[in-house]
Amino acid sequence: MWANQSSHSGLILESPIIIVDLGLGNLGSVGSLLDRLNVPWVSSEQPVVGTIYILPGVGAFDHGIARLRSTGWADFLISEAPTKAIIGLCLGMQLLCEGSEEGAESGLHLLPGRFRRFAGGKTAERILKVPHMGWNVVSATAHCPSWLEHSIQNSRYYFVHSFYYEGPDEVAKLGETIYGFGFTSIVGRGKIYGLQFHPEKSHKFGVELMRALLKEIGK
Amino acid sequence: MIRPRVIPVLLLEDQRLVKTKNFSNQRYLGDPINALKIFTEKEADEVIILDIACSFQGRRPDISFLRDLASEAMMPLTYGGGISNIDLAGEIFSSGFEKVSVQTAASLSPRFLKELVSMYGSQAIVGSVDVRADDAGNFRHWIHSVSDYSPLPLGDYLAFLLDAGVGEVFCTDVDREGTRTGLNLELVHNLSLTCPVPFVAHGGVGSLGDISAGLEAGADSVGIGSFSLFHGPHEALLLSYPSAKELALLSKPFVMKPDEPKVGGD
Repeated sequence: MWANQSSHSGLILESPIIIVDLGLGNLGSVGSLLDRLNVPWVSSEQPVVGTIYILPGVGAFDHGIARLRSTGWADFLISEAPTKAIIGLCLGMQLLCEGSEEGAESGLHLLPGRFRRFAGGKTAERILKVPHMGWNVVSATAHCPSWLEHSIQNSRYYFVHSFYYEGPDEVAKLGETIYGFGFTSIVGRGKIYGLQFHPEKSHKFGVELMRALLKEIGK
Repeated sequence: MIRPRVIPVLLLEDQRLVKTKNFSNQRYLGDPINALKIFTEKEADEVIILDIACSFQGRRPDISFLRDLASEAMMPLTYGGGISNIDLAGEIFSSGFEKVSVQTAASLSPRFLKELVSMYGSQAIVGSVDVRADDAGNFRHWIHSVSDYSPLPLGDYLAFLLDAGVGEVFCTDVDREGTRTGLNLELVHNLSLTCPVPFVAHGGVGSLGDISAGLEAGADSVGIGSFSLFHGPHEALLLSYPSAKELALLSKPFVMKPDEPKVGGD
């Protein structure tokens, strides 16, 4: 477990943000984003009580679920979810939902919806490459709250994923991105959010979105 | 709408930032940490960092140096050079890189490449290929460490990378690398249109027009070296990156109609 010690912050939080360390990919960049926001954080391989959890991650769905279970984080997050805030990034978003075509395992079911693979495809000039990799924009859906709509305007975010969100609950779909067709790139219900892209790798756009999101869920 | 990426490619020799012509005639430029800081300030889409001597010298990448390097970046980073085992790749990911690029080890061991993909996912593994034209004008896979063409046809090598599951292909045209004479559009066109994963064309960019031409020829992204490092005919060192406005002009809308038949994928 490692942590930073920020004394001053534009955001006032009750306790450090907990970064769930599944050993999947690059936690350091989530930590540096939070450093830029000047908020205290702790990353931990074992469950630690907090008020806001960030679940980052890259890689395969089943491997991610297996890590969540073996570390005890799966049951812990499920028990914390009714009263606490959880933000899933990229694979983390997928793990918070119900499941994915990529794997056989069940997700945490903390958000509605499942993930399907981009089929690929082509027009006369171009192939729809998979993964969807690069900078793309997010537009507000009908149910996007105004603070979020404001934050995602004139912004762009870094995406890299082969599976996209599909869900039954229109109210939970907050942001949409077009890659060949439109898919939900921000999902949220209560204080649980999933972002399909990588705010920690999206320059000031990602920093500002996380500032807005933490401010909202820290209320 | 996805915007094509324009990616500075920084070459290292150990902890020194260098630039080459045709991957030789090496010139020392300065401190790579400072360079990466500047590209972060300029909001570069992504940066590829290649240690061009690691594999050649049998040297292990310095993880603490790579961690210092990555701590400057607020954009995705790819590292290539000397990645010869699974654990080393894991250390590079945890030091702050999103992707690793492999060439030498992939050529030597197909099984290693497949293991990398299954462990870290396609999205994290870049298949790198250096290309030169032979005397007959045919594009061939060039093996830098032995200064010779691979006996395997270029198409077969690409098929091998894709079959192993790489999530991106990074292609350097060694004949044009460092020359600022424009991308070889025939090469870009031939390779990118058959490539189902993102294709990064690198080698020869000297202007914004060269980037546009590469994208029109089919590249998904373009790697830039000298164009982002040097200024003027005497190649004065001056780091630059296209402005947001210039990059926006490179965008191409790409929307499929929902009823359009989909092909490819699985």
